[in-house]
This record gives sequence, structure tokens and C-alpha cells, in this order.
Amino acid sequence: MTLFIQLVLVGIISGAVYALIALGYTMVYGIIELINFAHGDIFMMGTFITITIFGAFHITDNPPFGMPIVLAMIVAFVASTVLCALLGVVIERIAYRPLRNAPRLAPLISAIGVSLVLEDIGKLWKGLSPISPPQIFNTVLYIDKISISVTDIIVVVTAALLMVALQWMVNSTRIGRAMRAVAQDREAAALMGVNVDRVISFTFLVGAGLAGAAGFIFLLKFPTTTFTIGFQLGLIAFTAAVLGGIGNLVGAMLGGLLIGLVGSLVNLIPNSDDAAVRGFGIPHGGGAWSLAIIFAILILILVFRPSGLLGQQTPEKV
Amino acid sequence: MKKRWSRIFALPMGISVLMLLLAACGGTGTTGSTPTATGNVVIKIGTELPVSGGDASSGKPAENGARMAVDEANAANFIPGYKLVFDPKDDVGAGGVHDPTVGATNVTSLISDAQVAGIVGPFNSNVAKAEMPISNQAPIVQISPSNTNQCLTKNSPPEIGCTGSNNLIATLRPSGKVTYFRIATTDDLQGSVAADFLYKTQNYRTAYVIDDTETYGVGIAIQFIKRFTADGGKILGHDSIKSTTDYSGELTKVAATKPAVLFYGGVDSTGGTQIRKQMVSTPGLQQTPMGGGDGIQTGAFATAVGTTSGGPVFSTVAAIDATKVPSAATFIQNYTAKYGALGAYSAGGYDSAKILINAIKAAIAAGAKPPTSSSDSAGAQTFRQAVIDQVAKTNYNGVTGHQSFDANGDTTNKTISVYQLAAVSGAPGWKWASAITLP
Repeated sequence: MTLFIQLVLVGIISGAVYALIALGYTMVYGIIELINFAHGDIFMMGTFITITIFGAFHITDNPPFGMPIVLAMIVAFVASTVLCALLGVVIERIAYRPLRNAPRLAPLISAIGVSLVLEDIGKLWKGLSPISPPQIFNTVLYIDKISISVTDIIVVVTAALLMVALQWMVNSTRIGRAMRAVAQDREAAALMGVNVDRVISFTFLVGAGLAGAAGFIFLLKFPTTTFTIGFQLGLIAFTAAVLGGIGNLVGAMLGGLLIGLVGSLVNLIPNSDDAAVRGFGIPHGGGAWSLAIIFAILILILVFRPSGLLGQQTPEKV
Repeated sequence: MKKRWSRIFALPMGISVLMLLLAACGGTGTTGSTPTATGNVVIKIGTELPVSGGDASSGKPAENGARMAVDEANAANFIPGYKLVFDPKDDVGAGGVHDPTVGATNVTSLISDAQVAGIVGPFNSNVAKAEMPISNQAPIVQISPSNTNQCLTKNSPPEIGCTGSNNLIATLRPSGKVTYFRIATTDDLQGSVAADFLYKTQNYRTAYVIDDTETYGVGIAIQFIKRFTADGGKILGHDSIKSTTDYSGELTKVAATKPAVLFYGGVDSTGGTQIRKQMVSTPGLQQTPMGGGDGIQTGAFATAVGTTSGGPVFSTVAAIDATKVPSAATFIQNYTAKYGALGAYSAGGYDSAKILINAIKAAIAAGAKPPTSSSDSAGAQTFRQAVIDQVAKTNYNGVTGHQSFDANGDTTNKTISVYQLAAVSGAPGWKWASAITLP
């Protein structure tokens, strides 16, 4: 039972990271119906910026708690978010806006192109090998037998705050209303006086900013990154967005959490080669099948609900 | 209309004229006078290693070693009348790590160049699986500095686990003849040494095993489990997990079994680095030691993991440590001056290429004629066979100790070194801990 609760916790933490990246996919799709393949690579840039900032503050493994580390974390978080947000806007301006009225496939291909360009920039910047930030805040808190590290708490709280803020912005602010309007009907929104170009730019700003924040949070939890990481994480996050219903914000969060939980809980399925379980379970243990199981669930959901878990329930998509 | 017809005829006519010219050139080349001492006849030494992406720090040092051997041979005019040309290939694929499909394509393209006399590589056992049937049928010699999966070269005795679907000999050696050699010793020995070291020297009584689902990783994990159990240790679990970014669920499960050591079968780029980094943030595994094979013994792993957090990390390398071989001092000096710190298989790459170059020299001395053009495939076949025969007779004292090959193509040098992750001259690196020579 302890293990089950522990795995649920771990799943929620991983899921929160996936959800943050998935939000960027879903926002962009909601507004201009473009699958932004470069999104995962913006996330990769976020991880690189974070490592650079930690390096600039001379943070080493297991730093004592104090001003330098807190300051470095805040600066890294802000820099990663802001720089990635700007990067998102620039990409939209250069690679997507000129193709806005071109056939659907054109921006898709330019998105793949941007993704490759970003990967190469990452390669030139940090080299070919995986790199790591310093290991920080590994203090473990125990609640009965359940353990949770300080890092995990920071990860979950930051992700939750960001998601709540995003929800509030989309639902309760003027720009959020404009975003929903553009998502529903771009031309009608333009006729009502909404500056469509600016709204789309803003969407990229927020989406890419979330990817940058996710890059920071990801490194706290999974302290290794490399220039190809955007592809792997992008795939998982894109799956999360589709699972939840692409274009739907709450759906993306739900999809991310679900993938995190499934990926964690499959570890409960024992390895059938293990003598102790007498052939029960699946070969190599459940963990070996996590992606297979996640995609099996995705296929099942798409067969019965083609628009994803929450795809149809909310008419507005942002 | 007229113009078009003339064009259609022009192409085949042009081609046949070209063929005649080439044939004429080839004729004069082979029947003409013996090559002059200026070194104008080219013999190519191919390498097939992963040298970019996530594997750069594994494969590049081996490639550098091989390149140095070729450069030295040329500088010393080692084979009078012939110039050696280094022809490196990279098997890193779109995924950023070694890719068997890319490896097979590389080998095919090396074979198609008649002047390539032999190939040093591959680095990874799963890549070897894809390449060996191709090079065996050509035939062309392959000498691997680092392949350690035991099933690549043998299917007996049954204890080593190369039976049933793991019996690969018929697939990998379709011609029935041995054309593949390696100077690294096999995983059945490497896994055993790791188990002995962790159980007997480090006194770890329980272990959890994770492998990366690849040929090498699964092989070494299975051998580790067998020996660790035989030694009296307890295996708490064994999972095969394909490379991912998130091991937190798996590690949480592992932590619940409270192992004394976590053994990882695989390479750094397919999970080794991530697993060790994530262990430090997994309650219960924060100070747990980790063991692994030569796959994690890379500079990238050492740099990423560092020496200031988490438990100790041990790795085995299926070769003697070059710094422990007195005759290797010059090699180490020259290598470090040119390429920087030694990699786990720098010396292996150097010796593999040296063995190949020695065999080429011996084959020429015995009367074999290297092909003089890239398209002389018949000449290539005879010469390559002569090189294979000479490699099989290798009796060489190199920077990895004494090397000769048994009937399977495996090295008779069965020394395995154990390393621990530690600060080496100020930066994280691998510190030699002990060496075990098996009978």
C-alpha cells in the first residue's frame, strides 16, 4: 500500500511536468490549428538556459540553503520562462505568420524545420553529451512511511500555480477573452475589433513561456538534459494533449497527469520471470511496457472518444 | 525527334566507352610494375563506430586511437610502397545514439569500396548483430575494440545463455567461417567479474538489476544475476526498461525493495546517466551504490553524474587498463598530447587498427596483392580473405596487453578492470580500482 501511494505521488509529479509542456501544444493548436513541432525544442532551450544560470551563480552539488541558491533558482526560473517566451514569439513571427494563409501543411513543415534548427543550436551551444545541473534540495520529508523530497514539493507547487494562473488568465481577463474569441472564429473576432495577430503572438508568448518554466521544473526533478530531449518530451506531451482533447486546456492538464500516473503505476505489474510471483505479470515487468500501455490507452480513448477525454465538453478551445 | 534519338544512344555509348577506359586502366594497374616506394598505392582502413550524439564520448576515443595507429604506420612507412588511408564511418542515427541500420549501411558502403582492406568496429553489440552477416558474406574482416556480448561469437557452453533465440551463430556467420574478431573480452566474464567484485570485495549482499533492453545490456545483466546468485547474493528484482527520461516510478519501486546495490546493464546514453541522476532524488536510493559494465564507463557519464552526490559508482571494462601496461606509456603520451584524456577504448581502437595493419603487411609479405582501384571487387575478395587469414594468426603485444584470437575470434586476453567514479586530477572521472584476470 505504501508503494502504491508512493507511486501515485511520483506519477503526479511527473504528470505535472508533462502537463505544463502539453499546455503549450494545446494552446497553439486551439488558436491556429497548428501542431507546433518546435515546442519540445523550446522546452529543451529552457533546460539549457536553466543550466547556464546555475553555472553563472556557481551553484555546486548539495548547496547549503541560503540566499545564493534561492536567488539562482528564482533567476533561472524567470530567465528560462521569459527567454523561451520571447523565442516563441520570434519563431511565430518568422516561421508561422508568413504562412498563415498558406495550405495547412506549409506551417507544419516549417515547424519541423524550426525544430531541427533549435536542435542544432542546442548542439552547438551545449555539445553532444548529456549535461546536468547541480543536485539541489534532496532533503526527504516523511509522512508516516510515505516519503517526498523538497524538490518534488517545489515541482508540484510551481506547476499547479502556473496552471491556475493560466486558467484565470484565459477565463477572466480581456486578453483571455480575445484568445477564446480568435480560437472560435478568427474572422468574426477580427470583425469585432480583436487584433488577431497580436492575440496569436500572445498565445505563443504564453505557450513558449510555459515550456521554459517546464524546462526549469523538469531539471529539478529529472536532472539530465541533452539537445534531443525536446523530441522525447514533446512526443509524450503531445500525446497528453491529444489524450485530453487537443485544444482544451483542462484536457491537457488531465492528459499529462494521466500519462504520469499510468507511467508510474505500471511498475506495480510484476515481472513474470520472477520466481516469487509464479508466472503472474508480464515479461520484463510493467515498467518495460509503460509507453506501450500509455499508447494502448490513447488508442482506446481515441476509438471511443475521437476528440479526446474533454474534447467535446467545452465548446471554446484555446 | 532526331535529336532525341541521338541522345538516347549517346548515354549507353558513353558508358561503354568509359567502361573500356576504366578496364584498360585497371589492366595496366595490376599487370604493371610493382608500386614505387613513394606510397602511391592506397589501402583503406575503415572504422565503423558511433562518434557523435549521445555516444560521442564512447566511440570517438576509439576512433581517435585507430586514427593514430594509421597515422603512425604511414609516418614510419610501415608497409613500404603502400599508403594507408583512414576511412571513418559514424553509426549514430536519427535517434542521437548508435543505430544498427546505419551501421549496416556503413559496412555495405565500406565493402563496396574495393580498397578497404578491413574494418575496425563496431562499438555496440546490437550494431554488430546487424553488421556481421554482411561482412561475413563479403567477406571482410571486422575487429571490434569493445563488443562484449558473448552470443556474437559462441553458442556453447549452455551456461552462457546463447541457446534458443540467443543462438545467433548461424545468422551472424552465414559462410561458416570466422571473419569477426574482438579484443574485448565477453560479457559472460564481465558480468561475472562485476558480481564477484560487488559481492566479495564490496560485501553487497542484495542487488536490484535494471537493463536497457539492448543486446549488450540484457546479456551483461543476465550474467551478473547468475554469478551474483551463485556467489550467495540475493537478486531482489530484474527489469528491462527501454531508454526514457523518467525513471522515477521504476526507481520508487526499486527503493521499496531496499537493495544494497543497483546493477545497471546498458550504456550511459540509453539510461545509465538518467538512472544514476534520478537515484539521488529518489528517497531510499539516495546513497545506494550503483554498478555497471563498460557501457557506463564514459567521460560523459562521469561529468554528468559528478562525484559530490549520491553513492559510489563502479564499472568494469573488458580490457586491461592501458596505464597498467608498461609498454603503453609512449602510446598514452602521444594520445593525450593529440586528443586529450584517454577514453575507455582509446587503447582498444589503437590495437584493433594495429592488428589489422599488421595483418595487411603480413598478407602482402605472403604474396597477396591489394586491389589498385576502388572497383576491383574480384581483387578485393582475394586480398580481404588473405587479411582475414592473417588476423586469425595474430600474435601481438599491444597497449592492451598480449592479443591473439581463439577459434571463435575472441581474444585470449581475459583481463577485466574495475573502476570507481572519483575525482581524477580535479575533474570527475574513472579511477582504476582493481583488475581480475580470468583463466
